[in-house]
Amino acid sequence: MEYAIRTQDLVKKYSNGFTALDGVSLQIKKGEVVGYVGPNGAGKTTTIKILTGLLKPSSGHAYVNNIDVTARSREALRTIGALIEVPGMYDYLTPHEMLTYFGKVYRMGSNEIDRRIKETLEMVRLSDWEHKKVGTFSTGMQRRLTIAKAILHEPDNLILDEPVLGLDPQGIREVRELIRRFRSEGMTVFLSSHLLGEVAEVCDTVVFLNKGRIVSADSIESIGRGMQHGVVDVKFLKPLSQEETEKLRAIELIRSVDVKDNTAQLGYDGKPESSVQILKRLVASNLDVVSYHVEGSGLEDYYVSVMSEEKGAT
Amino acid sequence: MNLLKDTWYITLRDLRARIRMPVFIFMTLFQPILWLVLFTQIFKSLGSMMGPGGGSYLQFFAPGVLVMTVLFGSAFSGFGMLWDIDTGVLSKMLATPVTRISIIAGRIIATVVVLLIQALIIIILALIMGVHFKTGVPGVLFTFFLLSLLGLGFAAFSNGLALLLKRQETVMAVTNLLTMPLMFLSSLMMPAALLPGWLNTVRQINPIDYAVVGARDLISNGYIWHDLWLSMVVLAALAVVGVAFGTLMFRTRAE
Repeated sequence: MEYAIRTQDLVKKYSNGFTALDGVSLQIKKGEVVGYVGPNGAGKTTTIKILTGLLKPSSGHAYVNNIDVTARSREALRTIGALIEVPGMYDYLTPHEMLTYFGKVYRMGSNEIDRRIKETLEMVRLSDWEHKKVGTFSTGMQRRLTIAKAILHEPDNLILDEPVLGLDPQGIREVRELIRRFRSEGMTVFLSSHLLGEVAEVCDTVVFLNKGRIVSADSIESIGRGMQHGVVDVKFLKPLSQEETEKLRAIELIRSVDVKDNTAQLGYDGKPESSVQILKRLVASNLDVVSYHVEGSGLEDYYVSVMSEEKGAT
Repeated sequence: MNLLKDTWYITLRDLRARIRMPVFIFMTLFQPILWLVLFTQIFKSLGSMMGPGGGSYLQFFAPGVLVMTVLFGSAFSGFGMLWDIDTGVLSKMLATPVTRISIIAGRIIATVVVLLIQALIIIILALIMGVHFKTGVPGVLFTFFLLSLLGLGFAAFSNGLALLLKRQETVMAVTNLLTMPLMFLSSLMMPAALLPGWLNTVRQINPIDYAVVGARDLISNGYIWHDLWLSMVVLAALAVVGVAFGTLMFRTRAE
């Protein structure tokens, strides 16, 4: 099996005695979108820094496209686009200048650089800002620009550390759409995030990290089935009356109902066929459904249960 | 080849970012003017103490202003590295296939280029104010060479210090602790003949003094090769030590 990103018993100990990673072994297939979640201090950023050549592991190996990141970092880094920490950049440069610099670093030709600048800025909706100084950009715009920089050289693998940190809901949605687009283009995406809702929306697989160790790794679908819990967000044309709310509760597949004005969150067993049946029942009940969104897989509940087990075990 | 290319790209990027900062432009132009005019006016009456033939304090001090400008400009260049570390710019660069050393090399070279521009402004202003350059254009170029070595050594050291300490307050404190004594424990502001005996001993291990003596010879006294060779050797050694320190810190601390 060819893995796009792989770590083997990765250990990182800092000089103050703190062990950030304690034998992390990851395997991420080509084209997969993997979420990396865990509490603060779990070791997520340390893992990402090792994969992007910013840190050397104390022991173990990290491979990207089968290239040892520590031994052949520059070769490995050609296949990676990374978004790490804060979107630091020189305020007095324009996106065109900044991306041109990175294009040269990635040894792209001038024509290719110009073409990719146009393409990536269009993708992140910054075309109109190509020649404006970055210092005038909002946080969201700067974050989108760093994503443009990460994909400029058309890498096989994208590594994102908290890609939606500091963004407003619109910005979060835009990043989510971009990740979906990258997935459809066959890019392997490895992202760390605290926002489990976002992870559930865009990832195929989730890896749970705690105190430097992987405590669980599974597909979103499996987690959903395992937790037997899902949530549907429904928006109605008008606020629901008491009678209409009782109609919702009466639908046997629905386990819980939380109504606020004209929206309702419906808890169910998480199975895709169940969500189909619920929608059919809602329509059959003559309730005016405006939108119907299957939110996820109970990832939050799974996270809490996994971390609680881990806490209990230690 | 990749090292040279990457260093070139980073130098250009750094210079471009700097020339877009209005305050930076203003300080680059104004500071040397301020020092040259202010100090020569304050110490004007020292002209009579310049030695046989007298001479003006301006003629005496102009090389000192050059060295002072390069010293302070290069010694504080590490703050740019701190900014890069704190804002994530350095991480962004390190997570690319750029030749690692080019990141610090480009920054140092950009610093030296800016300092040489300032030095040129000082020389032009000094000429307008009446300073006579005994060795002409070749001597000015030679002076630039000495100043480049001085700037290289201190800029590299400053960037290394920033990587070692990683805190603005600490870097500021250490830099002030080094630069102020170096400046005053030399013949930068006063002729050696007017300095106390112990200071004349100390200045012999002060690389700033070698820079000042070399620049002063080229501007005012002519090609005194004994002084000039010593200046070149000491400043080259300073550059080597500074670059070695900066490189070591970058390799070990740029995480």
